[in-house]
Amino acid sequence: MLTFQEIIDNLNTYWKKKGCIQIQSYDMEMGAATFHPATVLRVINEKPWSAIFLQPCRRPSDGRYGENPNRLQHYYQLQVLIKPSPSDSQEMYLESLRSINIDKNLNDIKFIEDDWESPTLGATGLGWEVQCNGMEISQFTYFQQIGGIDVNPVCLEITYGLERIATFVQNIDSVYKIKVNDSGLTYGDLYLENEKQMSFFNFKLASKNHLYNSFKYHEESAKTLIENKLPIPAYEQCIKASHSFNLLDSRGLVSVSERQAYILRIRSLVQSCCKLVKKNV
Amino acid sequence: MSDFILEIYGEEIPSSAQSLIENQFKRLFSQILEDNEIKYKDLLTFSTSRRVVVYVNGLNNYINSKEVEVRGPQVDASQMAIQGFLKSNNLENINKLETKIIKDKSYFVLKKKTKKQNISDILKTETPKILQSIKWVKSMRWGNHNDRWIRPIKNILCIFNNKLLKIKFANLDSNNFTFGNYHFEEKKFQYSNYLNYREKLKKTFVMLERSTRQKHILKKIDAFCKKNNLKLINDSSLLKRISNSVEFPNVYFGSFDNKFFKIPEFLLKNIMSDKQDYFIFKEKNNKLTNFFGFVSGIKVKKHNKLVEGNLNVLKARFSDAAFFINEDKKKGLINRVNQLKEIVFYEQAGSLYDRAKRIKNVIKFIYEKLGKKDDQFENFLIYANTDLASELVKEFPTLQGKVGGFLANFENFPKTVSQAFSDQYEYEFSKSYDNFLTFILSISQKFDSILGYFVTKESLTGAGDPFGIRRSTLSIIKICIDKKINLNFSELFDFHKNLYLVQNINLKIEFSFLFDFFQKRIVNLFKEMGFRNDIILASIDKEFNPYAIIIRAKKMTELYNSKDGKNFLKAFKRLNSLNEKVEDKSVEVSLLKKEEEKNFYNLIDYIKKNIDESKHDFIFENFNYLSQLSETINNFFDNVIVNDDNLKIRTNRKILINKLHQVLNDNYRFSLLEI
Repeated sequence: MLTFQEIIDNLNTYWKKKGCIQIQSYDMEMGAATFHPATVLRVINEKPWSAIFLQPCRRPSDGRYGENPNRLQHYYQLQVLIKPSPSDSQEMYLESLRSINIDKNLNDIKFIEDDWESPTLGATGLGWEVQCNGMEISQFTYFQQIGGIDVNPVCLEITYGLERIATFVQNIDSVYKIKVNDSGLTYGDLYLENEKQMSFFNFKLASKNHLYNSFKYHEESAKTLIENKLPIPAYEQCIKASHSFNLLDSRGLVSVSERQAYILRIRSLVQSCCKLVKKNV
Repeated sequence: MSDFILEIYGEEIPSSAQSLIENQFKRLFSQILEDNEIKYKDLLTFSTSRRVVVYVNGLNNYINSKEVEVRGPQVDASQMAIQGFLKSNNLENINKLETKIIKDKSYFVLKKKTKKQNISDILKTETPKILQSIKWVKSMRWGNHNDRWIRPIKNILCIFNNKLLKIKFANLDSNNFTFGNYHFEEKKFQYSNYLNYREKLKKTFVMLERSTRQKHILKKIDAFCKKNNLKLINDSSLLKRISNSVEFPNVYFGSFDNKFFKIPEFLLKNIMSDKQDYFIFKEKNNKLTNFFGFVSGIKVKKHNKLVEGNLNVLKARFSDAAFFINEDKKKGLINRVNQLKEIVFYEQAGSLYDRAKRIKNVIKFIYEKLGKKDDQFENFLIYANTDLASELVKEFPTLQGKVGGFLANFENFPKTVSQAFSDQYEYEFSKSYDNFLTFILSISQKFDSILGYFVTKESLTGAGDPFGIRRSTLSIIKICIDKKINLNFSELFDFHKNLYLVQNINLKIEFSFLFDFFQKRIVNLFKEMGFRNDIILASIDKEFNPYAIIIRAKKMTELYNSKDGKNFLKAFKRLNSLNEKVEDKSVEVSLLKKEEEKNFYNLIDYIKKNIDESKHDFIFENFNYLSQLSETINNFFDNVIVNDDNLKIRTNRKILINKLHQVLNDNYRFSLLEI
């Protein structure tokens, strides 16, 4: 049986053999690996780009105080990017699953329509949510736009939900039971307490005033940096603003309609960053 | 006879796109065949999750040459036009042209023989053009070319008369082979003829026809239902979606633990049908059962693993839902209402609690306006949108309202109230649905959303409807019409705007702005319903009362189509064309000389009085009066000379015309009709 570490190793090995450069996680809180500058700021130019990286992700409102078997506010995504998208993208992906003991002939692998979009990033892509016996294990996307700009050539983005995959591969019903390595250490040993404490912070204790102010601060900083034509730090401020917004959301301080307004504010900043990057290429 | 087949094989095609592409293939290919006068027998289209096929049979191999006449410029056209025509037909001078009179004008014509054409050549040229011209709701690029399709294409099979027809699209050359079902080894096979192609598809586990796949699924489900004494909860869109998601459906069944029945049925159903795409079943007494069915592309002998996997997902989703319900029940709606104070509605438009208070007041206002009483549930109205603070709605946003209804019921609110909470977000209501509170709550909260949106924004531009404002407007109009709610939106606006202002929210828009916005929606809706544009515009009143508007539009249409109505409108047209701007003076009765003008004068008071009594309905309720009206107007114009030499008489007659025009047009706006 593959451990959590081995799943990550095998996928890394597989994609590195396919020519992907392995880069490292970004040191900021983000809701999805797509926010990594290696995605956003790399896919908008015309240069070929193949990369794989592991990214810790935070979605404050997904926390469940450690009580739900597969919902976490902090988890790991493994992301693969290949530009231009290869003609055998799907085959490569299915082959990668074989490297972690998921055989498409024995399991029901479904490609479910999912017109993926990240309104915050002004990003759209067409592709699928990949399900294995009913469980979502990956997101498979052909990037069409980012920051409102057409991605040309098209970039393939595959995002593996590592915890979900591990529960499937290890045939267990809770992420906390995942064996991380052969010593018997589990995912719960590493992260259960973190989930409990962070859920309290996300849902009950994150300071409302501080969050409103920090959103404003990051938004203002991004604007100033964009005026100074510094898209890289400006984009970092967008990532930070987005996380402040996610926390406001998990604190239940944003209505459905207001959510849209916040998202549009971040999106216009991301768009400016992308335009600047594209211009400089 | 020859046949033609095109098969586009590729990565998973979303269900909704399959009918769209089939319809366009049918339309575009038949268009090409007809434009080129190519006869054919059948034009069939098919689609599965991985391929789209168009097949045409009964084709000849070529089109014979024939004589055609090409019309050129007129004989007296400019030299440039004539030279252009000669050049485009490879002629040096006009010697070979003939002249022909067409509709009294003399034209150059060229008689020429068309070349014998291979139909395969036409299809070879036109097919790539068709592939490029497909209109998708969403389409994509992939790799590094610019052709678009719904998902990446892997192979193009293109055959005419059983031979490869070479075309190129999306960086791919067409082939004379294709592939079987990729869940069953994706076997490559050569195309030899159509029957053989269908046979090979069958052998490689591809059911090309949607109906075959659906029948296959339903057969398995029927057998399962019989065995377990169950009934399928019908959902034709689910069946279509599922049958479109595979090339060969394998149906599996499972059942979940009964302990999950503590979760309300609407939630169980939502999770299974909408989130997981499962078939669900009821017992003979209509109670939901714990069985579910799902379709997979793969066929396995030991299906435990598949069912178990799906069951695990279901368990996790149910556990999540159960967790939220418990949290929500513990807290309840009444205790949660204060949480709304913390949630921003729209930037600068206050909190959701402010919104709740406004909606409560608006409901009261509407009830009073309509002469109805709402005492029994007044105290509950403040909780109408409290579910927005619940855990369940945060997790299942599409269930907003339903959750409120459920929690209201749990807290023993009156049934009318919990049902209204539950159904308030519906776009429209069936004929038999009759909870009046639902309609008024639905209108009030949607109207509040529209006004809230315009607190910080001055317009709604661009395509799409990200805030649902356009949809809400249409929904309000539809509810008022369908449920005969006689509501005046200019009054409602004044009242509602004031509620915003009292809360210190600076709502700047005026009713005239909202009127334009509402008018656009109602014009489009009524056009779809088949009303004439001029009648719609003539029917819209300043107060904007959708129910009154539709009644007028119907009456106006009736009038427009009736004999008396037509005669009257002709008479009105005379009145309209002679109407001028005049001083605002009364008619001087002493100056009226002729009998016809006295009669004409009497009309004005008579109509005015009747309109005042019947609230504009007078003419529409008294079609039999129309002939008398027309006659009096016509008699006046036939027998009275308006431009009398005497200035006083002349002015008085103009005032007379203007007064009648005013009373008719202010109330009925006949001048907007195209007569």
